[in-house]
Amino acid sequence: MNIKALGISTKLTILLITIMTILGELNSKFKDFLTGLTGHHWTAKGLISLIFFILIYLLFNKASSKKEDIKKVITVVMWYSIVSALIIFLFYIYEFFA
Amino acid sequence: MASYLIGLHAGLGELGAIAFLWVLIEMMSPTPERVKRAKIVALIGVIALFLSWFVGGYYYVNTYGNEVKPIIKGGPQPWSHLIFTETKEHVFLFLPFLGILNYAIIRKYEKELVKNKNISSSVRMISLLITILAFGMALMGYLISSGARSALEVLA
Repeated sequence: MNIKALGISTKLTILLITIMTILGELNSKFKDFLTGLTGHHWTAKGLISLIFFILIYLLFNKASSKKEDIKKVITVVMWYSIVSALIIFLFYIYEFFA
Repeated sequence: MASYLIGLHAGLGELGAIAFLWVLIEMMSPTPERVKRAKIVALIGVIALFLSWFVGGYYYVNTYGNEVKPIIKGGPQPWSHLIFTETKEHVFLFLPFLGILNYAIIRKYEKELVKNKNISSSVRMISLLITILAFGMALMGYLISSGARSALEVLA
């Protein structure tokens, strides 16, 4: 497996989940669009994430170099994960009090 | 209202969390045997997280949204849904992808992991993140259940 491509795919999927989550709350048309895809917006987010993850991996699997800096890949993915989780959590706190 | 699916979802999620905690411990001082064990346990963790996703998702879409969510939102702790369910259902989606990445690194670098400290420390870091996030899901699950219980106490 190409770990560099998998790292890019993981961080972009996490970013996509975060964007879909917040956009879905701020824009009812987007949430309705997601609901229309699978019957429930959350199911659509999961399915889109899974397909996106596979597609991005396949795309970068061909393009990216085979020289892998695992530490760098993991550090970037970890920052994406931590910051995205915090953004989602703080967004819902803000929504609750707003 | 209580469903066995909640227990199954939580149990599988905990299994995933414990599996990656196990990987973290094996990677503290990797030997060929420990790396081999970590590879198997990481695969079990990935499968558990995916199964937890599907079981929890089935319950969330078919039962929680119609039966539990309105009760919590009308109860004394609406924040347990509006903050914690909403956060949990989305942040949870990160976990299977992080698990796949972790498993793929162990599988690809099985032989290098014993000597290469950069790779073993990377596996430790991502395992720790998965463990913390997965146990965080369990904590949020407890807060959501607490919101449902408090709402039912008011109704009783």
